[in-house]
Amino acid sequence: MFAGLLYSELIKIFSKPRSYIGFVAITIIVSLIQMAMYLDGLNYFSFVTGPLQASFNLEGNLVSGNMVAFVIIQTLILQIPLLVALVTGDLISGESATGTLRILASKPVSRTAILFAKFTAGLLYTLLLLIWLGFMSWGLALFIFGPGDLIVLKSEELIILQNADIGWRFLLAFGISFISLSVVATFSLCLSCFADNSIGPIISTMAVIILFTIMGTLEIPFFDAVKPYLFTTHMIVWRNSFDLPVSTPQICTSLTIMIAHIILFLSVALYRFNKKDILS
Amino acid sequence: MIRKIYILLILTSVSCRICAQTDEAGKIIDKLIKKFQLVNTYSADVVIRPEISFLKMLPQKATIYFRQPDKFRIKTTGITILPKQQFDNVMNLLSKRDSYIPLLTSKETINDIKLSVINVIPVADTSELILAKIWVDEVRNLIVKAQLTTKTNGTILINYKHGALAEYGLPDEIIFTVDMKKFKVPKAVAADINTESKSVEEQVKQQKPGKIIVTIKNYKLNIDLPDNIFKN
Amino acid sequence: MEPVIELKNLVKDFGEFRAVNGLNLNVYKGDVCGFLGPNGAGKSTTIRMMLTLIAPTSGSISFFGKDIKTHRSEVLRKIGSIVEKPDFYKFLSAKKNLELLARISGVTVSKKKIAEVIELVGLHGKENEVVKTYSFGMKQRLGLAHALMCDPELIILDEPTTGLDPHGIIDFRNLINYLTKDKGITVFLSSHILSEIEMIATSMAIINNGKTVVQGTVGELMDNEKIILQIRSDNNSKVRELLQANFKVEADSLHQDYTELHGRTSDVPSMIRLLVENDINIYEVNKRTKLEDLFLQLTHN
Repeated sequence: MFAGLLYSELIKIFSKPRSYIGFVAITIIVSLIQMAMYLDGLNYFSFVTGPLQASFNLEGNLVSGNMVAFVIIQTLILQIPLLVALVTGDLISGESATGTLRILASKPVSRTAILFAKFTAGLLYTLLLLIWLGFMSWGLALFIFGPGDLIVLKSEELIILQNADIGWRFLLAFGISFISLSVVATFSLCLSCFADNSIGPIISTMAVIILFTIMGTLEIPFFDAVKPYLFTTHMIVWRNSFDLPVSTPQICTSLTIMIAHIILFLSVALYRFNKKDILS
Repeated sequence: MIRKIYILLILTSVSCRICAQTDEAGKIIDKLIKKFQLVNTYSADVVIRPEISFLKMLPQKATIYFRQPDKFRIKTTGITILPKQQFDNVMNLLSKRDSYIPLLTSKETINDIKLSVINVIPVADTSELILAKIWVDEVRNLIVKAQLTTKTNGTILINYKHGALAEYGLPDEIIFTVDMKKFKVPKAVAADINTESKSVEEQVKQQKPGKIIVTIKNYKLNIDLPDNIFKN
Repeated sequence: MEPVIELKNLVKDFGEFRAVNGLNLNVYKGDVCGFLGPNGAGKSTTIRMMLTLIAPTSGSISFFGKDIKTHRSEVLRKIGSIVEKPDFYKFLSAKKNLELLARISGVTVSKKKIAEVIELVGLHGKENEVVKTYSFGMKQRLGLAHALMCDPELIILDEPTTGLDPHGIIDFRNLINYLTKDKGITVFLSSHILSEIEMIATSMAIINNGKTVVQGTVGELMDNEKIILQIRSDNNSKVRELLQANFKVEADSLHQDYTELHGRTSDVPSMIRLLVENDINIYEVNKRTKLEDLFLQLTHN
C-alpha cells in the first residue's frame, strides 16, 4: 500500500511542469559555466593559483574536470535548496490550494502514511536532482576537461588532491549534500503543512536559509552560541570531504545534527498534518 | 710619499688576494662543471613532498628529463609545486662561466665535512639573480648546499644529499627551503565550518619557511631522449 | 435496523464560534437522505467531519455500526464522496486521475471498471483529456465517477448538481435512482436545490445553527394535509370569497387567471363541490406540496 502511495506521489510530482525547473536550471547554468571554463578557465583559476605562482612553479593540468566540477558545485550550493523547496514546499500546500487535499485526506489511508509518502517522494526528487547535478557538473566536466588534480581553497590553507584520491571524495560530498538538501526538503514540507498555498513555504524556506547562513557567516560573538545548532552551518560540511585528511568526527557530528533536524521537522509536520482541519 | 706607497702596497695585496680567491673558486667550479658534463642526458623518477604550513598535499610523483646543456622538463599527471628555481638552476648558472664572478669567501665544516663557500656574483645588472652562494665538498667534488638570492622571489636555500650517483654529481634528495613571509592565502569563496581565528603563535608558525623535499630515484643516464619531451 | 450513518451529539468549535452544536442524525440503508439547511447552518462542516477532513470537538460518528475513529480505513473504503466542488490533478487525464486515486485508496480497480464509471457519468470519449481542459460540469461528472469507482455502499455528496446543465441534472437524478434501487447504495446528499431533493430524497434532515431541526421520511415531514391549490375558473374572485367563507384557508392570493390558496387536503372534494353548486365553471385544479415553505418555516430565525 505504501508503495502505491509513493508511486502516486511521484506521478503527481513529475506531472507538474514546475518539477522540471530544477533540472533545466542546472543544465543551463552548468553548461554555461563549463563553456566559460573551456574558453577562459586558466584565467579564472589564476585567482587561486596566482599568489602561489608568484613564489612557486605550478606544473600540471590546472583546468581539470575535477577542478571545474568543484567550482560548479561550490557556486550552485546556495541555489540548489531553492530548486528543492520549489517542489517539496508544494507537496501539501499545493494540494490544499488546488483542492485535491480534500480528496486525498478522505481516502482510507492514514494521514501519517500520506505524509510519509510525500516525504519519501520529496527525498527521491531531491536525490534525482542531485544525481543530475553530479552528472552535469562532474561527469560531463571529466568528459570535457579530462581528469586531474584538484586544488581546494579554504579560508586558511590550500589543499591539492591527487586524481586517484578524488573519486570517493566526490561521492562522499554528494552523499553529505543529499542529507543537507533533505533537511531543506523536510523543512519546506513542514512549512507546507501550515500553509494553504505554495508561495509561503517556498519563500519562507529560502528566507530562513539566507538568514541562518548570514548568522553563521558573521563572526559576531552574539551568534556564536546558536551557530552550532543552525542546520545551515552544517550544510557546507560536504567541503570537508576534500580535507587532507578527511575530518571524520566533524562530518559525523554535522550529519548527526542534520539528521536530528530532519527528525524534528518531520515530527512537527506529522503533528500538524494529523491535527489540521482541512477547510480548503 | 711613503703613505702613497703604503696605500699602493695594500691595494696591490688586496687585489692579489681577490685574484687568488677568484682563481681558486674558478678552479673548484671548473671541476664541478667537468663532472656535470659527464652525463649528457638523464631521466629519473621523483617524489615531491611539500612541507609548507598553509599547503596540504600528498607526495606527488613525477618524471624529470635532462639534456645538456640546459634542457630540463618535469612531467606529471597531476599538479606539482616546485620552487621557481627548480632542480637544475645551480648547475645551469655555473655552466655559463662568463656570466658571473666566483669568489671563494670562507671555509666551513658542516656535519664533519669541510666545505668551501663560494659566492657567485652575476655580472649583468639585469639578471634576476642577485647573489648565489654554494658550499662545495672539494674532496668529493659535490655541491652540498646552495643559497640563491633573487630580486622577486627572495632567498631560497637548497640542500643536496648524494648517494649512489655522487660520482656524476646527481643527488638522491634535494631540499628547497623557501621564505614564506610575503605569501598570503587568497580569500576562499565559501566559508569554512567552525573556523576559529588563529592565535598569534599559529600565525607566526604559518610564516615559517616552507620546504619542498624532492626524492630522486631510478636514474637512467645517457639515454636517447626525443626532442618532443622538452616541448610544452 | 442499524443505521448506516449515525451522528451523536456532534460538536465542532472553531475558536469561540460553534459551527455544529450537538447534531444528531441517523441514515438507514437504502435511503436517499437529503441534508438541508441555510448557509452557515453547518452542513459542509458536518460532511467534512464525517469524512475525517475535520476533527469533531466532541461527539461520535459511526458508519455501518463502526466508530470512524477506530475503524477509519475500513469504513472509508465503503464510502464514495464529493465534497464541494470536485478538484482533481489538473495535469493528469481523467482516466489517470481515477487510476491514481484508486491506487491511493489501496483498492484494486480494474481498467474495465474505470471505463464503466466513466461511461456511466457521461464522460466517454473525454477520459484521456487532461482535467485542466474540463468544464465545471465535466469535473462534477468526474467527481461522481470517482465516488462510484470503488463500489461503495454509501455515497456522500455535497452539492452534487452544482454546475450541471439540465441534461446533467436529469442524468444525475436517474443515476441516483439506479444506484439506490438497483445497487442498494445509500445516498447522503446536501443541496440547495430543494426541488431536486424533493424529487429524489426518501428522507430528509434539516439543520439550522449546527443542530438538527427536523429529521424523518419525506412522507412524515411533508405534511400531506397541507396543500396549495391553484384553481382556474371563470370567476376567480367569487372562488376566493366562497372558499374563504366556508373553509379554513391560511393564505390566498388572486392572480390574473387563477386563485391560489393554502388549505387542507381533506377539504379539496368539498371545495370543488361547493364551487360547482355555485355555478362556477372550473377549468383547472392544480395541487402542490412546498418543501420550500417547510424549509423556510423551520429555519426561520
